[in-house]
Formats: sequence, C-alpha cells, structure tokens
Amino acid sequence: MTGEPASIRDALVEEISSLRAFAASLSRNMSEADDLVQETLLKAIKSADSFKEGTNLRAWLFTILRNTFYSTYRKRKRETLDGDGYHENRLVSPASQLDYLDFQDMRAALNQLPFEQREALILVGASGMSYEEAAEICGCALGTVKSRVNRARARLAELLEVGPDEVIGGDKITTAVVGANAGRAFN
Amino acid sequence: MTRKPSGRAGTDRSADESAAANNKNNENESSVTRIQETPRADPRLDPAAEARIGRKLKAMYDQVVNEPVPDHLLDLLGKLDASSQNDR
Repeated sequence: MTGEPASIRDALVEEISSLRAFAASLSRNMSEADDLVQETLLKAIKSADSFKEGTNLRAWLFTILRNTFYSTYRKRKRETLDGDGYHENRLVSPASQLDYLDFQDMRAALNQLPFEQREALILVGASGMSYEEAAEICGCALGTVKSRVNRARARLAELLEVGPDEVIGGDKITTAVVGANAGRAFN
Repeated sequence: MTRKPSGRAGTDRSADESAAANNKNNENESSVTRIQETPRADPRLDPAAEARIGRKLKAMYDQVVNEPVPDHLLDLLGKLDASSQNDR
C-alpha cells in the first residue's frame, strides 16, 4: 500500500487549479476543460496505486490529463476549430476585463499553433514544468520539446507582434524583423 | 525590395539585415547590432519579445489557476470520501 487514499485525495485537491489551467489551454471552453479535469481526477483516483510516492504528482496528473484529452476530446475538437468558443463559457471577473481582451489575442494565436507546439509551450512557458518533465508528459524526446517550444515562441511573436495597433515602445526593430518574415508564416 | 518573399531559415538572416538596414536611421543602433549578430539556425526571438510573450502566456495561465475551483470538482473528491454512505 503506497499512501493512504485520504492523503492522495488531499493532494489532488491541491492540484485542481493547475489541472484546470492546463486543461483550459487544451480545450475550447472552460466547461469542456472542467469535464477533462473531472475525468482526470477520476482516473487518478482509480490508478492511484501506479503513482510512485515521492515523484512529481503534478506531472503524473498532467500526463493523465493529456492522454485523456488525446484519446477522447481532441477528435471532437476538430469540428469546432474556430477558437471563438473558448470565451463563451469563460469566467471572467470584471476587474480583469482588460486582461481578458489581451488574452483573447493570445488565445487566438495559440490556436494557430500546431497542437504539439502549443502544449509544449504551455507546459514549459506557463505551467512551470521543466523541459524534462514536459518531455515526459508529452512522451517525446527532450530535444523535441525544446525545438517545439522555440518554434512556438517564434510563431507567437509573429502572430502577436505584427498587429496594426500593436505599438511596442522601443521595439520597432522586432516588429520590422518579424514583419519581414511574416509572409511565410501562413504558408 | 528585390527579395523573394519565400524563404527558409537560411534566408532569415538577410531578411533581418534588410529590416535592420531600414531601421538604421532610427536611434536603435544597439538593437540593430544585437539582431545582426544573432545566428539564426533555429527561429530565435529577440529576448525582449520573448519575455513579453512569456509574461502574457503566464498571466493567461495564472488567471485560470487563480480562479475558484468549481464546487462540483471539489464535491467529486469529497463524495469519494463518503461514497459508501451514499448520502446526498
């Protein structure tokens, strides 16, 4: 017996917020993300025995969530690859309205990335996973993750920083450089 | 511009130089130098742009992290606690 059920449960409660954030970055809207989290929690409890005490619980849960997403949700997603749906069920406090608009750009840009690049970037760039952990979660080589993250960042820069009213103080060079390359971004 | 719009990683450099040259008249001399010196085998970002995007990405992610967890997810775990009693 590794770990009492009660302690696993407590640990799971602590991870729900992170799971939701990761799920949200894969899903089109929050209700779908929460379904994904729910399924992940149920699977985690069922297979709690396979969790090795002392290893990274969050990485283990993220792996379950990602695999669940791949096996059940992703196919569905292709039908609604629009991306606008994400915000329909979104919980946004009025105080963060500006951020919300800001994030809409980011969300739209993320949706244009190949899925593998998006998840790699979210894991490393947002969730705080190491490249090694991200490689484990995604089931690929370390170098592959690094390359995906680099390409994702470059593409996001193209998508986010050439907008007509995106004026960035002291950074005209970046805009110019990105602009020079933007043409091939849509091939 | 006589440059072809198509291009792979190898042509990025010249495109960059061209862009940099266009901006030579601006006062961003140091940025120009930095970009020209960056080898571009892989797509590489200006560190400032990378930092900006990183912050935004993290902020978006953290917004969800900081949201209250929906009750039904908490209930789900709580229910398992009392699943044998089946009270609700």
